[in-house]
Amino acid sequence: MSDQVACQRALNDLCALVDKELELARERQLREHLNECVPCQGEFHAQSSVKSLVGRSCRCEPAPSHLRVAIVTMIAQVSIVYEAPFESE
Amino acid sequence: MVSAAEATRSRFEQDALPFLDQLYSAGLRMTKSPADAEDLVQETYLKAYAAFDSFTEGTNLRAWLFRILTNTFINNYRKGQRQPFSEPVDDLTDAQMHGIDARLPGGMRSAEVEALERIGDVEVLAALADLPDDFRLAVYLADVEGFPYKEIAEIMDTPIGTVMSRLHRGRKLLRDALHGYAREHGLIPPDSGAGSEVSADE
Repeated sequence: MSDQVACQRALNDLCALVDKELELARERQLREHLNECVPCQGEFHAQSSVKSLVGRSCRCEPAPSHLRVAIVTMIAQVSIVYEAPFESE
Repeated sequence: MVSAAEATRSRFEQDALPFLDQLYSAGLRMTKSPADAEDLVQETYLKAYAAFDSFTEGTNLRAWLFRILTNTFINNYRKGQRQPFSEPVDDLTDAQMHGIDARLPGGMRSAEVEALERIGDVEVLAALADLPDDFRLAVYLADVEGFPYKEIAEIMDTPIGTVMSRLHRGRKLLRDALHGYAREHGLIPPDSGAGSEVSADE
């Protein structure tokens, strides 16, 4: 397999590697390629860093307490008339 | 004596309510508005409660709730909204998006990574908010909630291949936006970065 083909295959699978979704055999093969190919390795780091940046930036935002109260109240009210089966999704 | 409806209600409160903050956070990123996020989450809980009998205990409640949240968002909040990229962008191949020639030499790339890591959360959130809905949802579900592809496919009701290309494209757009920001703010020297030096592979 030429370098060109190996690099193209690597680029196709990098996203799945970043997401830890590759099959083990392919992951091993791809990591070997990354060890030998600086541009592909750089691309992998860039993609990984975008992923972790999103995870870092989107912190969990606590729901306002009035929303919690509204939901609990709503459920209680629905329960009163719940004897008739509800239409489901 | 506790009625069946009462038992369902307390089971729902005990099992589903702990996901409120997560769903609200996701709702905020979907709708980009606290008021809309509240409405969206409230409707999600109402639907989930109404359908709770159909939820199989022991399966993934978090994924089930996110699926209802996502469906509700798509049906209610996107209606009539024109999507910025309504063309079938999902079909783009990875090769089209990340051509070999688009890679930079390793040195440049590590400069890019360093610059990306110095960008503040506010800018990242703004770039995320600018993504087309489908891309933003896929990226959020994968990178913030950590759902595997298979579950994202179920949540978004789409094939896994579509999930992958949405993720890939979404991250690419994010990266381009952040790269632009980094360059504007001097985090990357203006003469380096995407496209300026192309690595030709032998």
